[in-house]
Parts: sequence; structure tokens; C-alpha cells
Amino acid sequence: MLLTLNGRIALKLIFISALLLFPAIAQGYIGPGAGFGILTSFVVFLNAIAVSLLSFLFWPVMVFIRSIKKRRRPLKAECDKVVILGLDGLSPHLVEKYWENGDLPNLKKLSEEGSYTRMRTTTPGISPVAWSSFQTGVNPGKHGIFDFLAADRKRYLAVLSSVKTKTFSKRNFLGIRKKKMSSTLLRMSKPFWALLGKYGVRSTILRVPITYPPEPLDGRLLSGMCVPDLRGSQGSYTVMAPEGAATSFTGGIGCALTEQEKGLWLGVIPGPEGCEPVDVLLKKSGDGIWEIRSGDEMIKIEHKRLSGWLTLCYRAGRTKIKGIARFRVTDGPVVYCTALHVDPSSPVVPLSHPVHYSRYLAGAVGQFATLGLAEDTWALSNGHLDEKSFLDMAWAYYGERKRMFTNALTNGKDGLTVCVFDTSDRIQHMFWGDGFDPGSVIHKMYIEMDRLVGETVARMKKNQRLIVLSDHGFTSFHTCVDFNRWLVDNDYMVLEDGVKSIDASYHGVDWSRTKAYAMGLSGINLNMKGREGKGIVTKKERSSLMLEIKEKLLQLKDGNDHVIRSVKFAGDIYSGGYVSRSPDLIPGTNAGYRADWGCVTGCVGAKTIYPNDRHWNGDHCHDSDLVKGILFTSWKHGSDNPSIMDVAPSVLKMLGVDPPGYMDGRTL
Amino acid sequence: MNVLFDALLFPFRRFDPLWGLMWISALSGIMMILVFKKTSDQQAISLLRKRMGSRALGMLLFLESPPTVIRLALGLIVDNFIYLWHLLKPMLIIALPFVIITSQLDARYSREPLNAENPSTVTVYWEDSIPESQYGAPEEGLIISPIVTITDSLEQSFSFTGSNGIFVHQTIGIKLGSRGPSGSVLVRGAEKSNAIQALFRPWNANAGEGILKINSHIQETRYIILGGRWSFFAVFLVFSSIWAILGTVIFKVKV
Repeated sequence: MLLTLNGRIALKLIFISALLLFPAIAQGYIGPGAGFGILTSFVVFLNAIAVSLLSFLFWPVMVFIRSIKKRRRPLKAECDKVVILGLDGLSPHLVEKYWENGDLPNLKKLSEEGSYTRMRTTTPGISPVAWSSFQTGVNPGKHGIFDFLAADRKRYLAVLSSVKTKTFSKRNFLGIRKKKMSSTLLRMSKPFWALLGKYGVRSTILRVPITYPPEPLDGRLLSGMCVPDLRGSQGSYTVMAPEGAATSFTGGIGCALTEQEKGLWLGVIPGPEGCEPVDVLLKKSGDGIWEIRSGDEMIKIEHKRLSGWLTLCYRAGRTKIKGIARFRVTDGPVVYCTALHVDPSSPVVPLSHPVHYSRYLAGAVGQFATLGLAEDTWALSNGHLDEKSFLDMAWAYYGERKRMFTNALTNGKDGLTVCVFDTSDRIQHMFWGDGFDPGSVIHKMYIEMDRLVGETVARMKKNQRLIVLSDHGFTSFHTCVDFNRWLVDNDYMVLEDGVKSIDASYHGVDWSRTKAYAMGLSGINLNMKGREGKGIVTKKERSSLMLEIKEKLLQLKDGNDHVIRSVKFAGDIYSGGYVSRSPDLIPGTNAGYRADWGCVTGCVGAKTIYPNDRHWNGDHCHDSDLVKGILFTSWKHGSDNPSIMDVAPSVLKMLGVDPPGYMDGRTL
Repeated sequence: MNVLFDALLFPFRRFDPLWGLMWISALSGIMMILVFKKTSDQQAISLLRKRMGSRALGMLLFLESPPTVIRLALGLIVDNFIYLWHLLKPMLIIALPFVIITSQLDARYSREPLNAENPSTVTVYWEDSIPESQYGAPEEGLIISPIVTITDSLEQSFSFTGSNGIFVHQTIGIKLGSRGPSGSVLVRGAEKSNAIQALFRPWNANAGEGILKINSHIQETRYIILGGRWSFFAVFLVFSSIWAILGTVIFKVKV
């Protein structure tokens, strides 16, 4: 203990110097472990030199092959590289408010040297729809994503709108049948980086929503929103408590924690279907410190603090399925475990293109959250996480994303780099109600986003362009609107005799007398004959029924306040081959009002309008004019009312590619 | 140490020496990998290896950009040195038992026992001049050649043999080569030993003074494995490594 760290290093150096100064005959091999180490180290050394040399030798050949394979860019590129920084949900109102106070110097500077405008988002202004339009440059009618959820009209079920997963069995080369899972991306049309790839322009795409499963491209892509967890859900956490029994609740499951001996508890964490749960040992180690062990990996955490990542290894027969999770221990002890993220260094489902890109990133920047909606908003709403831990989690994921983004900026000299940060969205969802004053959580978040912009600008080189955008803005969400209850109260939906309310998936709806049903965050569907499983509304009745519902919805009031600001018809606002997938009516609520939690998946509650008492108190599922996004560019452009669809054709043009005619967006 | 190794080899005393050698190799492999696990920073090694793997993958991912590949390669080389630094502590700790084990194995398994088919040649180098000799006749057939003197280089040599690894003449006893079948204790000649100096006395009364050095040579043992002739060290190296590899899997050691 008397020796400081420097002292110990000095001693080691003296020892090594002595060894070098007084050499003796040495054996070339010292023990198997170290021997392997030295051997592999030598191989690594040779490999590094060989690949570097090969890279230099083959580089002209590769350039030549690419020049033959790839098309020539028809236009002269206006810049070498475009960097797009997506800050999910950054609100123009707050940006403008804060920079007036001088709080966002980097964004202010960017707007002065380039340009800033508010940006129109999609209808509805929610992330999967808006980011799909961002990447394809088309309206939702052409990419087919209208909400988080889509309607399975035959079965009246809400399904994920962007991914279809199916399980099938396939014989392997030994003839043994094995269960396989395949996922298909339901977003139609083509992202603009796929078009750039045809002309030899490489892209690095990080965590852009609706890119799971990853599509091949000329470059690298890490999927974002809609990547599932190991249980196949969009995020299901685990809570283990001494008296806990196996239960499930919205957003997670509960499990028992058994005391093995004093200070040592055993918990089990259920994983993927068909796999044995994984044991987790919890041990008190010192004052306020806990050890959590799974397999031969162990992490230490402070009481009530969020841990780092721990690998959990599940087994299905001889197959290993690896996941990663963070933990938090509170009094009891009660152990909170995040959703089981797919381990990026050993992904059980494809997370990236090429597949080993996620492995590369895990090694380069450390383990990272892979789940689509990584920040555990349900755990905060359910009281299993406190605000501090939730923020720790959100900022930890932000740090991971920032390291990936920096890595991408460092490694790609030209082409396109896109990275979406969704910390801004999650924090606003959960802390909007706390206000925006200096020192508030939201204020701090905006300042951090500004710092990120500043750091990005500092990394930009000559002849590179930067776009900073948000897919939508934000408003408050203080009141829930149960559209299904409203439909019942207005006789558009009829419940079976004796049914007063519905807890799940329209169980108890009398479809033979129902004309309309609400599904998703912003959609009302007509129960159309021939389209829905038990439809009754004819094509003839359709228009008048839609007008009737629209008129009545616009009259809906909460005291003196109008609840609904607009009701749009799908046929009027969308065009393209997938309009038929859309809800028939898209009600746009006023600020403060949003579709209630239950009606999204087919529940019918007791009241049409009631206060939102959840922690999730900020939102953007309102009339899209109320939640415009932001658009900053590092150059001056002439558009004063841009749309999120304009980004794709603009980037194509900047990089020397003609935007295709089917795109709805216009160049800036 | 001899007692410990005798005890470890006790079950193999009636078998061919190769079995004893393989047993010690296996034991050493497993023990050393466990020592490696205990003395190395496993978490740091694991992280470092992940990072090195990532850099190697990165080199493939960014082949289109030679500067990136070079940067990654340089990073890989730097990581490699950090990795070697992590190996230093376990290497130094393992070095001591390694020296003990190899010297024990060397003593027990490296040389053929002294016998009629396997004589030893001894060469004595004198410092200033070769003293006058008093040559006698070869004794009991154990000295199989007369002493040869090379005046210019001040050296004398002769060959002798023994029985079952031991040469005994009057009061002198020299053990050379591996004795029993299981690798029992052996003393490998030992240069400048009094025994060898004494061996000269019947023929050279002044032996023991003015000797610069004495070399004795005895044939190395070769073990036939898979048709090849393996030295004891090769057997130890290969079998301890095989068991160490198994050990890394069984005990989940990050190497």
C-alpha cells in the first residue's frame, strides 16, 4: 500500500530494464497459457501487416472493379460527404426558446452560417412513419408505414407495422429439422442510400428507425427501432423480488428471488421461448455494493445505481443464444433487469449489414443497446425504475451511440453518414411535464444535443455538408382520448350484450353491428365489407360514414377545449400503392390530447376523456402541424417550408445522383 | 522436489517412461492454465481481445480506405503490445514452476541410461598444461576406450559405460541417464563434479587441480510417437499445450 501506482510502474520498469541489461539464456516457451498468448500475438502482428499491405496493393484493383460495376453519377457532386444527424423529437419551439436565451450556441451558429427552418413531418407525426418517409423520400402511401401498429383486418388484431416475423422448420444438411425464424421488413420503396450505392457512393447508417431487419447496401448499417429483444418483444424487462411470483405485466415480467444463504440470492431470468431460464446470483459485497454473477461473468454495482452490461447465455439444445442486460438493485433486495438485448458481439438475429459490423462496433466502442426502443419507459411508468436510473440509462445509451457516430465519422472520408439519436425523444416523453426551465431535465438534454452538434461540426472537413434534423416536435400529453369508447358512445361500435368495457383486442365487440374501430395511435378504420373479417360497411356507405364521423369527432370537447384539431381521410393525404393499408380516418388531436393507452390495441374503457396519470406525459401523436420538426443545414437553401420527404432527394442531388421521379420530396 | 515428483510418478513406475512424461505434461498444462487464469486480468484480456478482433474485422470492413486500414492495423499492433504487457505478470509467475518442471523432466526423461550400448564420452580441458599421466589398464570393461590426449588444445577424453545408468568403480559412483522405466531420479553427469574428477585419479594422480572444464556427453532419449522421434521437451510441449487448450475450454480461461 506504501507504493503508489507510479511507484509500482517504476518498479516494473526497473525490473524489465534489469532483465534487458543482464540477459541470460532463456527458454522460448513459458507455460501453455502465456505461450499461446505470445503465439497468437505474433499471428496478430503478422496479420495486421499483411492485411495493410494487401489493402494497399488491391486498392487500385478495387477502385477499377467498382468503376466498372457501378454506374457513373449523372450529376456533378456538390460535396464529398453528407452527414445527417437525426435528433429524434427535437422541438422547434424549444430550440427557438433556448437559443434566444443563448443556451444553444452551436445550433445558433449553424443556422447563421447555413440555414434553419421548421420542417413539416408526416401525418401522423410519429417516428416509424416520419423516418420511413425520411429514408425513402415518399409519402406513407408509397412506403406502407402508417403507425407503430398495423391492422390485421381479417382477425381484428394489431400487429407491428414494420416487421413480419415467421417461424418455420427447415432440414439442415444432416436432414434434421430445425426451427428457424425469419423477419421481413414491411417498409416498401427504397431508402436513398440504396440508390447512392448503385452509383458507388458508400453509406454508414446508424440506428435509423425502420431499418430492421437490415437490408443490404453499399456500406454499413446498424438497425434501429423495431429490433426485438431476446423474448421477441419490443422490450420486456424483469423484476426479481424475494416474495415475487412469476407474473407478467405491461412491459415486463416478475420472478422470484430465493435466498440461498445469508447475503446470497438466486434469481432466474426467463429468456427466449424454448430456452432454459438463466440463473443469476446476487451477493452483497461490502457497503452498498452488490455483485451480480451469471455464468463466469460478474459485475459490481452500487445500491440503486444502474450496472454495466452483463452477458446472459441461454441454451436451446446445443445452440447458445447470448443476450446482454443491465441491472439495478434496491432494498429488499429487488432486482431490476433491463430487456434482454441481443448481444451485438454474437447476434442471434441480424442486427447489421454486413453481419459482422455489429461485432466490429461492439469491439470498437464496447457493448451497446441493440433493442429498438432501448430506454425502458415502461419500467419508469410502472415504478420499477426511478427517474435518476432512467436518466442514467438514457444517457448511457446516448454515450454508446455517440461513440458509434464518432467512429463512423472517423472511418468514412466520403459518402453518406446518418445517425439517429433517440435519447431526446425518450427524455421528452418522460419529463415533458417537469417543465423546460434552465436546469430542468429537458433543458439539460437540449444543451447536450447542442454540444453534440458542435462536436460534429468540429469534425466536419472542407467540402462536407451537415444536416441536423428531427422527425417531429413535441407537445404535452395530459389527457387521454379513448377513441373506441367514443365510437361506442356514438353507436359506431357495438359491444356484445352485457359487455361494458374491453380489456384486450376487441374481445366482446359485436362486429355484425360495428361500423368503425380505432387501432394504433392515430387511426380509425371502417369495418368494411369484404376487407375486414366480419365487415358490414358497404362501399356506397363509406364516404358518408367517414364524413359523419369526421364532423362528430371535430365536435368532441373537453370542457371548452376542442379535443380534435383535424380529421384527415387517407385517400386525401396519401397516394401510392399501399394506401389500402392505411386507416381510413386519421384524427389529429390538439396539443395535450392523445389516443389512450388501451384503444391502441383494441381495448374499450369506461370514459372517452380522462386525465393521463402516467409518467409518459409528453407526446407527438397529435395533429402533425402541431409537431413540426427542425431542419438545420450547413449551407443556405431556398426552401422555407421543407418537408421530411425533401431530405432524400436533396442528399441524392448533393452527391451527384438524380432523384427518381417517384419521390414525393423536392430538393431543398 | 524429487520426493514430490516421485510421488506424482509413483502410479506410473511400472509403465513405459512415455506415460509418466505424458501424465506430468497433462498435469502441468492444466495447472499452468489455472495459474494463468488466477494471475492474469481476465476481464482486461477479454476486452482487449474483443477490441483486437474488432480491429481485425474493421480492416476487412474498410478495405476500400487504405488510411483507415492502416490506422486499424496500427491500433491492432499497439493492442498487441498491451496484450503482451498483460501476459507479463502470469508469465513471470509461471516461469518458476516451469523451470522446476522442465529441470525435473530433463533429469528424468532426457537421456538414455548409461549402459553398454550407450556409453558416455568425457572430455577434460586443462588450464595450463596436461599433468603427467599414470595410465592404467581399462577396468572391468567399464572404461571402453583408453584416454586420448590432444596436447595442443590441452584436452583429454575417454569413454566409459555402466550398468542400468550407473558407473561404479572402487569408491566412485556416477549416475548418468534415465534409470528406471518410469523416469526415476537421475543425475546428469554434473560438469566439474568431484565424481568425474575422481574418475581420472586412477590414471592421473593430479586430476582435480588445474581443470578448466569437463564435458560429458550421453545420448538423448527419443520417444516414438506417431512414427516420429520426439525429444522429451517436444512431448512435454505438445501434450501440455493440448491439455492447456482443453483447460481453457473447461475452465473458461481467456487467453
